[in-house]
Amino acid sequence: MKVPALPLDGDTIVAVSTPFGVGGIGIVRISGPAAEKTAAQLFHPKTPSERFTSHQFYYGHICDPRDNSVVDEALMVLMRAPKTYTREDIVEIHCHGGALPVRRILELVVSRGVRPAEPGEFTRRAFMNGRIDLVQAEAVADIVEAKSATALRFAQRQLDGGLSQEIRGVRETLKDLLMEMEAWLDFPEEDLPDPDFDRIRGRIEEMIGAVRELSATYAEAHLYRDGVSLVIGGRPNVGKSTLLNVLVGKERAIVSPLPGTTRDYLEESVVLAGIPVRMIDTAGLREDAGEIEARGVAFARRQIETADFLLYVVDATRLESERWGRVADFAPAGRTLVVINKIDLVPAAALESGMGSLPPGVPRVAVSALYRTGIENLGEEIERQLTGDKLDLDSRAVITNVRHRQALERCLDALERAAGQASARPVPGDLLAADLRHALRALGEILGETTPEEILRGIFDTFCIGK
Amino acid sequence: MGEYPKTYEVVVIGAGHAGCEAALATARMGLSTLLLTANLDTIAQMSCNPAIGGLAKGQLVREVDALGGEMARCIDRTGIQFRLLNRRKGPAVRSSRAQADRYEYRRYMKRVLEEQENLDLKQAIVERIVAGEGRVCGVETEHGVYFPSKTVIVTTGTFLRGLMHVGLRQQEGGRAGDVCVKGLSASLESLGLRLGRLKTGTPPRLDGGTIDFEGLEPQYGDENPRPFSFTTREITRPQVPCHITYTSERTHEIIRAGLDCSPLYTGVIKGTGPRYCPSIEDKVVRFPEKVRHQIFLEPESMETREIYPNGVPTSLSLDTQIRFLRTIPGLERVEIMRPGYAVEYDFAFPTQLKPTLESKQVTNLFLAGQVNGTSGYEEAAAQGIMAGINAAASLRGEEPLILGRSDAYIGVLIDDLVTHGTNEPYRMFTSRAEYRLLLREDNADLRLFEKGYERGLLSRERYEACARKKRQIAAVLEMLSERRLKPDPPTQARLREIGQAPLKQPVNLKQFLRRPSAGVAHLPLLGIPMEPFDAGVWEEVEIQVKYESYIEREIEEVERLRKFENLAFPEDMRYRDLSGLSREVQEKLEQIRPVNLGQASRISGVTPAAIASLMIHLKKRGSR
Ligand SMILES: Nc1nc2c(ncn2[C@@H]2O[C@H](COP(=O)(O)OP(=O)(O)OP(=O)(O)O)[C@@H](O)[C@H]2O)c(=O)[nH]1
Ligand SMILES: [Mg+2]
Repeated sequence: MKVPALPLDGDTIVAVSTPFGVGGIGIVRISGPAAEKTAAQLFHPKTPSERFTSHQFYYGHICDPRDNSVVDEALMVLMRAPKTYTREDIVEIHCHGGALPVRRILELVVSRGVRPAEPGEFTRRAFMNGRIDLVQAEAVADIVEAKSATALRFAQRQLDGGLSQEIRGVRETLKDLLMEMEAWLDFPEEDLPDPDFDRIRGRIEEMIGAVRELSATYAEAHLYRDGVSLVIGGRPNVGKSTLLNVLVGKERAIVSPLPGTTRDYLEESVVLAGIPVRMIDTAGLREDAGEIEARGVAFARRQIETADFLLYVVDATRLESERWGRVADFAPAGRTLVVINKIDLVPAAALESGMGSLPPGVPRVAVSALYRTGIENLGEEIERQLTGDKLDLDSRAVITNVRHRQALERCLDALERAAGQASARPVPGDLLAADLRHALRALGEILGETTPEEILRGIFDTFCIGK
Repeated sequence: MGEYPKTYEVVVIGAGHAGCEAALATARMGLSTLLLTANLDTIAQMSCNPAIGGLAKGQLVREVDALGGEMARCIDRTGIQFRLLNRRKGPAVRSSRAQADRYEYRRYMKRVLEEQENLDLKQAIVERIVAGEGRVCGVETEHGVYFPSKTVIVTTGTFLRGLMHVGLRQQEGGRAGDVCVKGLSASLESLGLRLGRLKTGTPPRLDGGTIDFEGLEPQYGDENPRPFSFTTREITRPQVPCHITYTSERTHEIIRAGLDCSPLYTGVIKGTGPRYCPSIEDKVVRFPEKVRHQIFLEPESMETREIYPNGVPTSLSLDTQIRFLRTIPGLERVEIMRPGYAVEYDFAFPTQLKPTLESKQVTNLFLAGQVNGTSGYEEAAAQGIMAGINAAASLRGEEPLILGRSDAYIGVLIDDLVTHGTNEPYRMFTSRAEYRLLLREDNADLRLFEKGYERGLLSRERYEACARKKRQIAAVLEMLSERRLKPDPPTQARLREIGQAPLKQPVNLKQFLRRPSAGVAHLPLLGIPMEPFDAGVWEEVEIQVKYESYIEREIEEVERLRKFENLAFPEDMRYRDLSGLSREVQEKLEQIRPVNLGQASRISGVTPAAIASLMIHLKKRGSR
C-alpha cells in the first residue's frame, strides 16, 4: 500500500531519477535540506574540496562510510536552493547505469536517513514550491507517462551491468539478422546469397529463450526497485515499537511499559538486502480500546491487510493467550513472520513448550528486542522471506524496472511472430523484417535506439554492394 | 540584353529529373514558369545508368505519379525492359524497375515540357541568383539577361563546379560532354548557403558490337510488365534483355596494379562517394575475398549499340579501364566508346532547407535534387515535384505540403535530408522507412491522390477514379468480413477442388484469405460473386487482408507519435532563449529549426530532457 507522502518540511527524499532520461547512466537524486550533508558523507571527490560549489559537477567516488569501500565511480552535482527543480537543495549522483550500483547508492542514501520518494514526488514538490505551474507539471507527467516511441526512446536506462550485457547480446543478434534481412530485401540485384531461414529461425528461438528468461526475473526482482512495505503488528505492549527501533537502528518510536502507547502508525525506511523496505509500526490490536486508540487499531488492521509483509510480534510470556485462529484471518498468508519477543523473560525450556502452541508451518523467530538477541537472525529471516531465496543478484541479470519488463514482453511477442514468419515458405521477408524491427525497437526502449543508418552501415561494411 | 520583359512566377534552373518535375508542377498549377537549361538536348538526361526505379525508388516514382508528376508516364512509354523486383518477398518490398531507352526518355520529356501550358523552356546558363532583403527576385544568365521571378528553384544536379576525373587527368564539367557551371556556386554562397563537396562515378560505355553476348546469361524482363504510372493501361514497347557477366581474379589484379593512377586512391578526389555504389576499384580493395563481381550489360537505347556495364563505375586511367574490361567474359574484344569517370561537385547542405525545400536563408529560393546531396533520378524527381508544389503554395499563401514519414517515401527522403543532412550522396532504401509496410508501391495512389488533387495536379477525372477505387476496396473488405464460409458438404467439396484444406469451423472470408495459400482468385471458385472491379482493387484487398494485423500495428505507432508531430513550433521560436536546454541543444535546434516536436526529437543530440523542456515551453506558449 502506498501512503502518499506529505510535503513535510525537513524531510529529505531520494529516488532514482527517471523522468528526464539521458541514458547510459543512472542518476540518484536527493532533494531536501539533508541533501548536501548526505552527499558529503558518501561522495569523495577526486580533488578534495572544502565546500561544493553549487551547480557544478564533481568527479569522484561513492564510498560506503561503514568500511570506506568504493561503491561506484560517480559524478556529483549539488544544486542549492532555490535555483533547482524542487526549489530545495538537490544532489544528483550520476553513476553507472546498472541496477546494482544505483541500488547500492540508493541503499546508502536511505541508510543515512533519507526517505525514498513516492512516484512523481519531485515534480509534486516542484509544483508545491511554486517552481512550476500545473501545466508544466502535467507536461512533465505526460513525458513520464508517454508510452510513445519517441518519448520512450529517450527513456532512462537503469540496468544491471550483467543485464545490459545480456540484452545487448540479444540486440547484437537482432542487428545481425536484420542486417542480413535488409540487405536481402533492399539489394535483390546484388550477387548476395539468400539467407538461410532455418538458421535464422534457430537464432530467433535462442533469443526467445534468453528474453523469456530475463523477463521472468522481473516478478522476483521488481521489489528491489519498488521496495516493499513491512508492517509490524501484534497485540499491545508486545514490543513492536521496540522492535522497530532496533531494526531501523535508532530511537524512532516511543516505547513505554504501558499498553496502547502507539496509537497512530509510524513508518521508517530502511534497506534490507538491497530492498528498500518501508517499516510500519502500528497500534497494538485489542478489542477494548478507547476511541482514539480504536481508530488506530482499525487503521492497523488495514495496514496489515495491505502489507507486502507482516511481522507479527507476540510476547513470549503470553504465548498461550494469542488467538491464532484470529491472526490467520488477517495475516497475509505466506507473507507473515511470527516474532516471539521478550525471550529474555522466559527460560529456554518454557519457550520451547510455549512454541508448541503456534500453528505449525508458520515461520517464526525468537528474539529479545530489548537485549537485541536474535536480531541478526531475524534480519536474515526477513531477507530470506523477502527474496524467497530465489535470487542471487550479484551473479545474475535481473529486470527490476516495470518499463523494462514491458519492453521485453513486447520484444518477446515480436520475436515469436518472427519465428512464425521465418518458418513460412516462401518467407514473407517484409513481415519477418517488420517483426525483427519491432523486437529491436522494444529493446531500444531499454538500451537506446538503433537507427536505420546503423543497419545500413552494417550492410555496407559486410556486403559488397554496388551494382 | 538586360532585363527580360516578362516576370515569371517561377524560374527553375536545370532541366534534369528534379527540374522537369518542378517546372511541370508549377506550370500545371497555373503559374508562369521558366525552365532554364544549359543544354536543350540533354533534358532529363540519364547521366548514369539507363534505368528508372529499383528498391524504394520504384515507390518514389509511383508517389510522384500519384501526386501528378511525369516520371512514371515517361518511363512507361520509353522503357525497354520492366521487372518487378522482390516479387516473392512481400508487397512492401516489391519495387518496379525498368531499363529506359535513354534517348527516347529525354525526347519524350522534352516534348511534354514543350507542350505544357504556362511553361517556357530556354537554353541558358545561370550565373547568379538575384535576391534582395532576403527574398529572391530573379536570375541572371551568363549572357547578361536578367529574368525577374518571384520564386527560383535550383535543380542543377552535379553541375556546380563539376570536376571529372579519368585517372589522374581532370576536366571541368558536370557530365561527360557537358559544361561546368561555376558562377552559381559563388552566388549561392553569397546568399548565405554553405556548400560541400561530393563525388560519384560512372562506368565506361561500351560498343555493343564488340561484345560477345553468346554464352552470357541473359536477363529478361517480366512477361506482363507492370506500368509505373497508375494512368498507364499497358506497356506496349517491345522488351529487350540485359546480360550478366562477372569480373575475375585477373580483372582484380589489373585493377590493383592500376591503383597508382586512381584519383581515389592517390587522394586527388576530396569529395565523399556513395557507399552503396562504390567504384570497382573500391570493391576490389575493400572486399579482397570476393573472387568475382557481377556486371549487368544494359542497353542504352534502341538507337545505339552503346552498352552500360552496370557494376563497374571507375575513375581508373583509360588504359587500365580497357585492360581490365577485356578480362571479363564476353568483353574480350570490347571497345570503350566513352571512358568511365568520377565527378566531384558542389552540393548545398540540405539542413539549410525547410521541409518545404525552401532555403531558410532566402525566401522563395528552393533547392531540389542532387544539388541537395542526393543521388538518383527518382530522389531528384521526388524533390522536384515537392519544391514545385511548395513554391506554388508559397506564392499563393497556401499551406505548404509536407509529407510525413508515414505518408510517403518522399516524406522520409525530405525529412532525412532536412533533419540529418547527409555527407554522402543520399539514396533511398526501404530500410530507411520505419513504416515500410504502409509505404507500398501498390497503394501510392491511395496514399497521395487527395493531396495531388488538392494542389491542382490531378485531374478531376483521375481524382474520381482514385476515390472510386478507395470506395470499392472498402466495400469489398466489408463484404469479406461479413460473408462466411460454413463447413457444409458443398463448401468442403469446393475447397477440396481448389486444393484448400477443409474448414473445421465457420470462418468469414477475411479469415479464409489469411491462409497463406489462399487468394482472392479463389473467391469465385467458392461461389462468391466478384464485382468486376479493377485488378488493382483486388490486389489491394488481398494485401490489406493478409497484412491486416501488421498494418494495424504500424498505424498504431503512427498514431502514438502523431501527438509529437502535431506540436508545431512557431516560426519565430528563439531556441537560444529557452531555459532548460543545453547550449549544444539550443544550437542544434537553431540550425535545424524543426517544424514540430516530432522532427525535433529526430535531431541527433537533442536529449529527452530537451524534448521535455520543449514540450513545456510549447504548452506554456499555447496556454498564453
Ligand atoms: N524484557 C523485555 N521487555 C521488552 C522487550 N521488548 C519490549 N519490551 C518492553 O515492553 C514494553 C512495551 O514495549 P513497546 O515497544 O512500547 O510495545 P508496543 O508493542 O509498541 O506497545 P503498544 O504501542 O502500546 O502497542 C516496554 O516497556 C519495552 O521496554 C524485550 O525483548 N524484553
Ligand atoms: Mg508501540
